[in-house]
Amino acid sequence: MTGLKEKIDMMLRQVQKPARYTGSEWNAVQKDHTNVDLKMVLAFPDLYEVGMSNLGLKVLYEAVNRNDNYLMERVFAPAADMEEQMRVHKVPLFALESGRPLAEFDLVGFSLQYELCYSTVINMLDLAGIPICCRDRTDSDPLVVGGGPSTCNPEPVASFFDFFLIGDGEEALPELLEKLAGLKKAGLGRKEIIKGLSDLEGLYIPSFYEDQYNDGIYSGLVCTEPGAPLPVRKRVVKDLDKAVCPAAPPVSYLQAIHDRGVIELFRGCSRGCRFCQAGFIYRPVRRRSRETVVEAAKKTVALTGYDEISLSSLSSCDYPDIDLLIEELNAAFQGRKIKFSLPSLRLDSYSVKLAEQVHRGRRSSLTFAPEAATDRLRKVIGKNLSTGEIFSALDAAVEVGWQGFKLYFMIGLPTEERADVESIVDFCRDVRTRFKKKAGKKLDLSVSVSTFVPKAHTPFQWEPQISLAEIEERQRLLREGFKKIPGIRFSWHEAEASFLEAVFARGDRRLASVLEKAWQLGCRLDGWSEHFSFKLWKQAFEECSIRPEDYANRNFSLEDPLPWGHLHCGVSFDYLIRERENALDDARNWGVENE
Amino acid sequence: MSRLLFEFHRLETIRYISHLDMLRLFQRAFYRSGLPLEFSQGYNPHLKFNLAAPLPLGATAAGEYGEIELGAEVEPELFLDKLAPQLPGGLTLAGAAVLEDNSPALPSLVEAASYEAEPAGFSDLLSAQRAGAAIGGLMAADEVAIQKKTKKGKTVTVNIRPHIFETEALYSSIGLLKVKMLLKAGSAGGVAPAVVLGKLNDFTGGLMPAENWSLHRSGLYCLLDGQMNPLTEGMCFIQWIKK
Repeated sequence: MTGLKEKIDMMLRQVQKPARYTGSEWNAVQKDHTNVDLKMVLAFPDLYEVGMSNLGLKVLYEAVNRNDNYLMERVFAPAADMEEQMRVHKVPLFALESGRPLAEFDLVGFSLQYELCYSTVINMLDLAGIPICCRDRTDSDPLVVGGGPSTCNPEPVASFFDFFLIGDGEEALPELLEKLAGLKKAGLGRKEIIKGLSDLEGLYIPSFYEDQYNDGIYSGLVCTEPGAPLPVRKRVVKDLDKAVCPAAPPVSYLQAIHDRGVIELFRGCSRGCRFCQAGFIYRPVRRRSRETVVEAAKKTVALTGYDEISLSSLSSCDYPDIDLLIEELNAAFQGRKIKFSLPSLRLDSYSVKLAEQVHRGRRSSLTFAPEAATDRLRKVIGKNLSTGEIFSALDAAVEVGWQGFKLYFMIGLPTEERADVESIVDFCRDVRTRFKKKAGKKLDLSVSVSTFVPKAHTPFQWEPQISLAEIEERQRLLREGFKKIPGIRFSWHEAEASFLEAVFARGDRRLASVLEKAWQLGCRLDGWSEHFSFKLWKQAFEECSIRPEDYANRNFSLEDPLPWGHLHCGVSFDYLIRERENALDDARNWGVENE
Repeated sequence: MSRLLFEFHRLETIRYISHLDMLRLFQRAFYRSGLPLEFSQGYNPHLKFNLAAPLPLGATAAGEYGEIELGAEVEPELFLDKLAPQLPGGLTLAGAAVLEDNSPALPSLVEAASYEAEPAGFSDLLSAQRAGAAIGGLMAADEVAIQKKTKKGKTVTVNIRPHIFETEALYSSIGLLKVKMLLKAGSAGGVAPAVVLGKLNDFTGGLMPAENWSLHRSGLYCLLDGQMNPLTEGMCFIQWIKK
């Protein structure tokens, strides 16, 4: 006879990185299950070391667990070896803190960071023994909620979720739990509970709406529940200084992808690059004051033991008086060997100066995202930097001693032509030559090229992704080009993964059948190239008689109802249409203005 | 400036973390502790801190040691008081001492480690007999060959028999209680307990797979005048303070 504990121990001895599944990290919160009103588990549909790097997880963990009446535990997707063990030994997916099966919780909340996690969500529900479709769940099953950036078009996964929380979660989630606790206490059934939650701002209950089609084309949603809101508006935290700033998140034993403390400087971005979903769905811009940031940094270092703090935002140098902030932080930690890092630096001389201030002597490589290699295309996408400005920023970086750059570009942007693609190679060659002259030595240059994915709630939401064949052709062009330049590391995103991302980013509810089929065929952890199998996905689409091209490569007209049109994520479609017009005007006028 | 030696035990809750994880865990505990830390020079300064020998993933342990250099004189009592509350559940401090200047670096002293492997899932009389026979076979062999991958990826055959100092099976009335091993360890090479258990499994014809053992490291040893001694015997300090 072996008990569950012995069984799990035996499983752990046979898998890679067993610490992914054992919890008990520093700052992990252990609560008595019999002593709370409501038990929630936050499920992250990716591996432990990815999920533990996520800021949202830390924020929600603190927002819920600081209240004695509720508890939140964590669970991450098991890697393939652990999944096999769980299925062989019939051990259901369990939460890290208590080791209890997910089915024993009241609420399971999935963090939906991007589209390629959907098959993993289904797999985790199945491993937990929770029916994957909400219509099959009974009163004894947990409620399943989704949150995170992908919920700004959650339609492809709508049938797997009882509801979604759209927008900022740190205030909305505790409110949801409070309501839920009340409804549970009243002894209501699943349907009544869901109904009772419906007046919570930011809550989207897919079963209250029915999707409609005309000749196989999406024609809109109708309300089937009297009083259900239309549109559903996202939640917005008004004051970041008063919001949760998690200073004591669980500190993982094994190395997380981002293994450091993190403080959010501000949410939202005022730049409005037209391809960037984050730039629109996190609006308006809300800042944390310098005082709050410095206090949070002190607390984080004291409570976690991290020696590095990331000052996170979508565009760090847009933080007002950022130099003052860095001065104050340096003063606060004088002689303490605490490092700071500024992700998402803009490619201008000011940012280079900032990086210099922050890194003080540690010279590795600087990461920048020019996104496009021609002034024209950068203007179209709203990244208003000229090649001249970029080069002088790089010059400045070289002068103060940076030894390498990582440059991010995109292909397939609206209005892109062959010449724009070829310019990426020319641009990087110029950077290399220029540096050689300036510094007299070889530059460590890596270039990464991804493919544009049109995303909901951006000015480019109507635009098609270029065809899969065209992505591959443009990638080939780049490979050929970079082959001729020695000393540049060139990498590109898998074309098929970007294609799939585009399918689901603008998908509708019909795609649920494909997701379920793909999962049955064995798809999961699709963000990992060793797991991603486009062959299986193709088979799933075929068996469901759905053409993925009809989604990824669709050119929506401005009159077409959009599958995510019933969700209001902070920016009106009128504004997005104007921005789209501006982009196309910029493209049209470019030749005229620059002759 | 002072250099401190400390003893710790690793319990079940955090047995599944790697050596690098252990180093990180201690580093963060030191950062939180408020002790006066001493750093190396250079662009990436790190703590002057060592653990005696890497613990196998999955093993609990008693009698593990670490050493750290601090930037000021710190009494062992204060050291223990500051560090203990910063260690996660599953890691306990047993004691500490201030090291003399001439005390050798901790990892360089390690010569051997003792392990206790408890069967998880096959503790019956039949397996007890098999374990006994397997140990007999192993210890009687002049050569125990294993395949090992070198850093360059080549596979070479290594004889681990000289690295197995002692192996012994202990029994209870119902079956096998545990297998005790004393194995060579330390920077000059050694053998991992899982490798030895794997060999024992071979001797039983595959009836005792390595994942069915629960592993515990009971002690670390150094060599003094040709004799195995507890590791602390090789270190120079005046007074050992128990937690």
